[in-house]
Amino acid sequence: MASITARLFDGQSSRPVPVRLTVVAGGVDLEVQGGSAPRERLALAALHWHEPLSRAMRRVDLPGGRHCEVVRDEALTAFLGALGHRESTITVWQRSGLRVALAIALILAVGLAGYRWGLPLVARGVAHALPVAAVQAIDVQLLKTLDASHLLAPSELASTRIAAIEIEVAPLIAGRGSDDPVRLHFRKAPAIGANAFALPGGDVVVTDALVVLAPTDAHVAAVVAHELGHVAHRHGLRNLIQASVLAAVIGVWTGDFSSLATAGATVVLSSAYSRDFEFEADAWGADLLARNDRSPILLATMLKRLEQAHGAKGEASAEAGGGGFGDYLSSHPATAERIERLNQAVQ
Amino acid sequence: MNAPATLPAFDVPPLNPDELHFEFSGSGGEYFKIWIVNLLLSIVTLGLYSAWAKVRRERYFMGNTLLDGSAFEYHADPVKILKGRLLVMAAIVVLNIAAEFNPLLNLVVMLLFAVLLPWMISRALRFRAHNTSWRGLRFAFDGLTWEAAKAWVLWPIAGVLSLGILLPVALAKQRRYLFNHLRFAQAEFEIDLPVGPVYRIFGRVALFALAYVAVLIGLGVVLGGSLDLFSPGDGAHDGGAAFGLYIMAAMLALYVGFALIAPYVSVRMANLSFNQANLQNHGFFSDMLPGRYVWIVLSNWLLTAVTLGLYRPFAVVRLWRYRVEHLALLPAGTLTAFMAVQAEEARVIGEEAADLLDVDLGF
Repeated sequence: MASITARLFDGQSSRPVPVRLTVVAGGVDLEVQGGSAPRERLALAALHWHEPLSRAMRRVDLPGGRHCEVVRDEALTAFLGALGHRESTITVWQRSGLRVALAIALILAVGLAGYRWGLPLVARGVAHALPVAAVQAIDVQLLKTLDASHLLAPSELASTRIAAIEIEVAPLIAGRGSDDPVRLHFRKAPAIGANAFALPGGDVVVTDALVVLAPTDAHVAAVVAHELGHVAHRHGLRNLIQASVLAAVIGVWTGDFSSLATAGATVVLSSAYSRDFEFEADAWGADLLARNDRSPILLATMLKRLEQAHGAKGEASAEAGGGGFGDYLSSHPATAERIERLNQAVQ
Repeated sequence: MNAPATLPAFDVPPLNPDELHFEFSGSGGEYFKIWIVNLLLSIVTLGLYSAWAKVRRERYFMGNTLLDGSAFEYHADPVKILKGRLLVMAAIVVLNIAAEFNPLLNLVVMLLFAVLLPWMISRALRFRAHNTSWRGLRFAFDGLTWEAAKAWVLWPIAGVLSLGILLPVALAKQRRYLFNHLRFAQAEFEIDLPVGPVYRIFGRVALFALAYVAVLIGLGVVLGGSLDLFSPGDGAHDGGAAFGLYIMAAMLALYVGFALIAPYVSVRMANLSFNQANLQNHGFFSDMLPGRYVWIVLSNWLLTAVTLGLYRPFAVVRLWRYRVEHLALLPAGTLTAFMAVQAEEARVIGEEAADLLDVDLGF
């Protein structure tokens, strides 16, 4: 007959009472050691064994707000065996090294699938579900912030040049098959250099340096076509959603031990998404250009020129001792592939 | 750390030791298994399981923390934790979206947060204390929201307005709030925490920080100066790059250095608080070494980063073990005389409302 000793606490005081628990038919007998109190018969269902989380001790709750502390040893194992006690599924899982390894593999699989397919899918759904007006409110705020910072300054281009470019772009905006408003902005941005970018709500910013770099206004329009692709696919918003979710997940995973590390990891993980976005915007822009009887080669030419411009600037700043690290990150490793794809689109 | 093979004899009253050390019987490997299973189930259930995960984590840490051979217990109901989490998350999402669209709302949101934070703090402390027990007797916390508002909002604001001079007072007030409203069964915790020692902690931090920054600047001056003197002409290019690298390294060192202030202050404050606190006639003794503690925190960060987060359960156990094993109770008599709070008394201190929902703030 299996039996164990334990310390009983009555829930009313911190005084331990030594007891003996004995397995009997239909339950467990509780007996105070060295006392004259009669044995107490407890039904099996009245005993609640806690999950064995501690190596030293196991706790079992008894009726009446009482509980027992039992040392985890062979006697307890035999006792539980005699009771026919079965551990919960989760306890079994935790004990088995194989199943823990399986859990790790499952987490990796779920994590990778979520990163590669799940998150982009969700972000796209959410981005397209948001009303245009709400997203434009974000744009107004963003542009205001950028203008207030030293990053963007009023354009110094001749107004005739701007007007010419706007005339060149107008058919593209009209022919893109969407009523969502698009606004073109020109800004001087020495810190950014030759570039163009689309805000989530349809505001497209073109820098003075890009216009200077472009051989003709049609080339500027080709870059704008690419940016319109970003707008149509709502890349700005999708990027925002993906980055916030990534930051949240990384924060939970690492216990948020450093905001700098979280931001760094987010940038690295997000960059894979932006590669896909560039290809998508290129294809969309090339299609728009072709439908308006213009050549996607215009865009390919601009990509080449932009890469050269940024590469030259990167070297120059390295020469000056400032280090070309930032340019390394921003210059696109996939530019050659993008140009290749645009060339194929023409054939 | 090994469990005693046999339980201590009860009929003989235990000898009165000078110090009763808290012990921790868990291990990083064990917690890793719990952590990974928790994580998997949390991911699969899109975060809903995280409330159950929290309960299992707390149970592991409490259940392996022993005093006088008895473990602590964590009793929280996961459903109540889930309710609290959903409430806080909904509030944060709504407030964030509101602030995104209207900058004026930002101010309103901040004000609202300043009002909500003390309420959440007192709620969280109440829930945590109520759901922790030792030898079948529960802890309890009866601090008021208004007191929390003074310690966590008003005094810190005064600290900022006084350019940091009053910040140590704010910290001392927070510690007093945490201890003076805590009780175990019918016994009350008390703390006599003067602000003088807290000021000394911050004085040390200021001196450390000044010396640290001075060393970094000094190194920079030496490095930059020597480059100008000894590497003219062609060498200037390499020297410039090296100096740029030094600037980056110095920025990183500065960032890490300042990130270590929080654990340093936290360990010093923990020592100070426990050494000034008592539970009825029983005292406490905490002798963590600040250097050792900060080293544990720093190496935990590094190892967590290197292992892409997999070291985290080991890191948490390592820090908790250090804290627990450097804490002792100085008993004034036997520990068998604590008596449970009776029902009507519990009503007076608002105990039954304590279990409504948990606001998880990580206390």
